[in-house]
Amino acid sequence: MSLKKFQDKDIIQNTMRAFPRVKFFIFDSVVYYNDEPALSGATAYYAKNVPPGHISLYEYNIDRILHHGIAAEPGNTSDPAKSIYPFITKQSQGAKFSTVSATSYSTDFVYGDVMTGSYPLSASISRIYWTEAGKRDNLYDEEKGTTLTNQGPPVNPKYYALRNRLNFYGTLSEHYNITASTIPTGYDSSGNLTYRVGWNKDSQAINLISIPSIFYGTTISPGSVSLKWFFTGSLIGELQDVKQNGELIQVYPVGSANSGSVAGVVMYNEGFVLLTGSWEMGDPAQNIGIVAGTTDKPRWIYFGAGAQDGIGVSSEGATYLSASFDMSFRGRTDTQVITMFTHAHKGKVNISNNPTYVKHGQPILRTTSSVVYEENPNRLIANVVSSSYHNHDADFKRQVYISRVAIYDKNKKLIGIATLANPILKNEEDDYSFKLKLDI
Amino acid sequence: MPNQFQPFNLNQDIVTTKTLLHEAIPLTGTIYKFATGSYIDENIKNFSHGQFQAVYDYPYLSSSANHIFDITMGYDESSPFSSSTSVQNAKKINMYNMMAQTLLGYTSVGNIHQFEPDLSNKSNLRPMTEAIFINLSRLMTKDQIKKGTFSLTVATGSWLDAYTAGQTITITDASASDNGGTMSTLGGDMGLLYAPNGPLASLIQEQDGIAGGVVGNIFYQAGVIVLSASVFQYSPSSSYANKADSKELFSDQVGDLGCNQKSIQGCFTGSAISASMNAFRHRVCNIAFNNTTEINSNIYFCRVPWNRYNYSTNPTYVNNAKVRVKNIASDPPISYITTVGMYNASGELLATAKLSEPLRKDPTNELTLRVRLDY
Repeated sequence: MSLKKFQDKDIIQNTMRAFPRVKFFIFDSVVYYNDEPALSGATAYYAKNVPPGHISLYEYNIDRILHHGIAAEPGNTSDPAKSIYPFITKQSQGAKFSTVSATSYSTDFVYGDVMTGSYPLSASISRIYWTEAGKRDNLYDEEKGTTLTNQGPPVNPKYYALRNRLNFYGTLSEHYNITASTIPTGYDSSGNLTYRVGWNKDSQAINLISIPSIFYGTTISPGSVSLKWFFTGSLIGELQDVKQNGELIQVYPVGSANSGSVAGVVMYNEGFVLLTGSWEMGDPAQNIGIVAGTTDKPRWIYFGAGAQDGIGVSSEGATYLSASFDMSFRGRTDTQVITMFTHAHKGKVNISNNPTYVKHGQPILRTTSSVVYEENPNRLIANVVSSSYHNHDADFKRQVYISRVAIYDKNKKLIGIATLANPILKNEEDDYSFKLKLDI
Repeated sequence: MPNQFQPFNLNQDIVTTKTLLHEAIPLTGTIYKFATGSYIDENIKNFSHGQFQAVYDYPYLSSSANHIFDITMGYDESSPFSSSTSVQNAKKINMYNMMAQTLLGYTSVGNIHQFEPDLSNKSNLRPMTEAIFINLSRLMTKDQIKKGTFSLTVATGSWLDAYTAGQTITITDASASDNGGTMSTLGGDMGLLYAPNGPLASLIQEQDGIAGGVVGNIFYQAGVIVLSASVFQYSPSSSYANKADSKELFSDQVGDLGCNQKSIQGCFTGSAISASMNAFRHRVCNIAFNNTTEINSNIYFCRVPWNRYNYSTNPTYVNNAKVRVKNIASDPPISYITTVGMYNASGELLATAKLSEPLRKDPTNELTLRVRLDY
């Protein structure tokens, strides 16, 4: 079999960038992802075996009873598994599931033991509300026997994990900064000095919404974020990152007192939304059960209440149902694509190795013995030229049907096959190029 | 950008390993059992070409549906079922030939190699000229089916009460393992499927002359199950004692789409492929196997000797032109390693490895960081 070598211009590598649209709607402690309703299963409670608003990695075990059987003995027939699950045998390479800690790997398993995982693996958005984000525990000084107030470890370590990153984005917008001073901004129409009030995020109430990267890919697309606060179904406020610099600016109600105010920031690459806007919303603002154990008026710091945060009707009362939230944005995925052009030039690629290429019934061998193996040199090629007439064979023409293109590496090892949707008829005078694309 | 590199000792710092990750895959009959499955056949896709039937784990119009397997049937031209009066005769012959030539290739005289019930493929035993094919999807089999883990449980009762308790048998590839029991073919490693010891094995031996009750082939890398049609056949011989009483004996009543209780011969000759596959699914209780994914890894042992990497180029490492971690000049330096950068011979950064938590490094300790790259 002859091989054709790729030329310089036959291989192109580029990046395909896509912007998937993502929408979450939160109501009654349920998160809906891209308006997908909660599908009930015939066997499982949820068809996908994950609650609404979740992505199921691989989407295995659709509508199945989750049962591993005798998990340490995959394939055991006395208690067969009813659902798919992964397992790995402890070997010298040290491979394990990330759910198995290093200590557990060393002490709980001996070589040859089976470690099992489970499907589905799922992800969804979640919300955390901090009344004082940078709060620290008290520290007890054993030498002096005194308590050092607010000098212990952070109460909200997730906030401290984000502090450096927030300051890093301070070059994008000052609203990322942990602290900012109060600065004069000019004079109002009455001639009074106006100020931009400073802040210290450590002492602020912060509403953190975490978005797993499986929903957005490489980054959240700047300028695409929209957060909407609904009260009894009516829109009472909307934030957008209209400046594409991460600031979430109130754009609705238009012309309201806080229109144009920054209510929080988006960390595009990390998938976090931090809301600090604490002004009241609604006309007039009404108390609803949306803060754990108490009521308050709608504010941005309560946005997303009910998204895996324990807030719900049972704890907050029926007024919680007045609130619903919509968060939408576009993600960005970068997919490396290799494009290969393969050519079947005229006069080339005009013979097939398929056994049906030669006429049926001809002897393959002319001679064979213990010292000679000689193929029949007179075998005829099957004439598959289509005739336009009934009971008439068209004249023989050399033609093949190309059904697949094989790709070999420099060592002539087969590394890929591209199969055509339909075989292509190639006559000797035809000149074809096939465009092969591979996402990597 | 580091100001100094620690070169790898290529003989001992880089190791290539292969890890086998498995998944236990049970494909229970509740998903695909004819008419009584979870979705009343909404997860079964038939095609206008009628050559095979596709089985999904959920109604196939849903984007959540996963393709589990395709099933079809076929017979060789030499089969007694081959006749111009047989329904879809050409398609059934073509299907058998296509599967056989793809998986087994050709004989030395240019004929398509038929499926055979032994591992030499030179047997004088009766070849399996009528077969049911189960083509498991790549999603299920991954790199290959783990040898010795396949089982197919089939109902043996009559059509109406096929699943009566006790009336099932489990066909396995019991003789195959990673160390043997398979043969290399065009379609990859091939193993044999055995009926359990008992009436069926005896029946196969009596009818086809195959000791041990081989009832099919399994191709581990291709993910194809070839099940001989003879497993569904009553013994025509009166010498087989107690066949009517045996609860493990296959019924010959396979049935077609309309539950007309056709024999297996009737299905092959008188029913379309889709109808016969409906009938076959009616008899399959469970398919279970473990799959295998080969994860190739390079492990790089990154050595951090006592006298190196005790300083940092991080801007926060200095404060007012002084090293932040030193109070006086003679204090030992301290750094915290958070990231390992790996460079090629030209000093170009190829990859970075992040530690889950920073590691303290000072001149009193040495570290070896194990960086693993899976591909």
